[in-house]
Amino acid sequence: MRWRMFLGPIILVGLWSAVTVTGFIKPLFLPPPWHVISALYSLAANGPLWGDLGATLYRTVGAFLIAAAVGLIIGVALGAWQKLYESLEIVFDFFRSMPSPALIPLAMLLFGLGNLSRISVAAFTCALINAVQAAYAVRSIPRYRVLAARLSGAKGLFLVSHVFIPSVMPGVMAGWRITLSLSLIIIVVTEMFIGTSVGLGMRINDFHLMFRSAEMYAAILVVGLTGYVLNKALEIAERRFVHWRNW
Amino acid sequence: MSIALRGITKTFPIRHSSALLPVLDGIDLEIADGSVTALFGPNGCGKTTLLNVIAGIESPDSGTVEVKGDRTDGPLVGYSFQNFHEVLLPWKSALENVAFALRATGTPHATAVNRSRSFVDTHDFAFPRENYPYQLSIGQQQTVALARTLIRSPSNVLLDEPFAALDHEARFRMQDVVISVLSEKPTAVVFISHDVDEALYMSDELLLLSKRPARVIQRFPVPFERPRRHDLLASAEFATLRREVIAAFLKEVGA
Repeated sequence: MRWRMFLGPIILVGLWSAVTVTGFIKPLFLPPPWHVISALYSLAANGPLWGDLGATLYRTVGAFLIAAAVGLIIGVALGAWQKLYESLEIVFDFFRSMPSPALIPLAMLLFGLGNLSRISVAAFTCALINAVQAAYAVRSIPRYRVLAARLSGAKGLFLVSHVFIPSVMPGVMAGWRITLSLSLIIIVVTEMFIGTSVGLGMRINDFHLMFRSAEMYAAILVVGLTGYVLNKALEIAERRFVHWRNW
Repeated sequence: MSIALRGITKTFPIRHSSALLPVLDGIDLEIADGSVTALFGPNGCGKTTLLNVIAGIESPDSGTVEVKGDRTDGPLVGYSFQNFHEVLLPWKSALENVAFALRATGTPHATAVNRSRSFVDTHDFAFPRENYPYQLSIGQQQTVALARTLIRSPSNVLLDEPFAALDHEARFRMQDVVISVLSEKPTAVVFISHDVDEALYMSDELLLLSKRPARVIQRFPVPFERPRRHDLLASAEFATLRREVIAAFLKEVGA
């Protein structure tokens, strides 16, 4: 590992310390790093942190998994069947372009105030993205790859498992990487909107309303780290499982 | 085992137009067992389309295609596409790409890999066995694709510029490798090349094709005895035949 990669975070924390110690920014708006760290410590030791993190992760991963499965099925159908794709293109693009928070009130109306609402908003948006990614992946399978495989005698299940599935995997996994991050974003937003007693988004909003800045920053830090770890995990999975993705 | 085409014509629809683009204009072609026919002609004249017609990937507008084979252990047609980059499976190692041709027809994985290894070793196909395609040079990639086509000894083999990505030395070597593999069993071969020397060195007959739509302008028998060696290219007889082909080609392209 190169030491240089830690330079950015060190500079950032250094600047952060400098502007708070000198009083350039008031602690209400930005408490010094050590206050945030100690707030984080007490939230973790005897506060609601783990419950919040667990709830947010559960919703995020739940929505992600539903979107991955649904998106794959729809996407493969769209990719394999040109007429279906043409018929649904406008509808897909419409919902794909819609900012998903706009759907939160609708989801509350349909599914109530529980987890189902939150997860459905995130899963809906992410499924659309996965579907488009998968459809594109199916449609861009190289023509000669399939022709040559068929001429070699490949057919049926062998063709599917040895040619089609690996061919679409890089595109599908690229979709997963986008939607895992997006799922976290949408879930955190819904936690701020839709009444709940647990969740990182809700906690950030709560601390904000109570002027507990150090705790608010601590919760923001946790959300940021969560997103970073999830993204890194999928990046590593991509490098491992679709190592040929730049072919 | 043998290929016979009679009066093949083929047109392609032109985008945004109702007109048709004629590509093949009455091609007659007969290739017997154990002989190699080279197709030589201007760029974009329809050579690849002709191979696609023989392979059954495209059907002709008119004319008959007859491709015969009698192998029980191998496919009727083996086709090495010009577009080998699309053909290779980048998630499989070079050797596994060769083995794919065996596995596709039900050979178990271990057997297929072992047979592939001994095939590429015996015939001296030059590429690192365990590397993935994206870790190979472009010439090695083409060599892998070629091995994959040839390993199952098809009755009829179509080679679309199979050495285009190779450097000069590797090209000479692979020409001999391919000829030696093909001569193990009676095989009819159609071979496309943009290099007259190569087309003549590999073939028993060279067909000069016209500009699109392709017709056969002239047939050149290539009488040199086999096995051939590359010093043939420096011989007077070779030079004479080569001159004739080039002269006819230049006349066609109007240079």
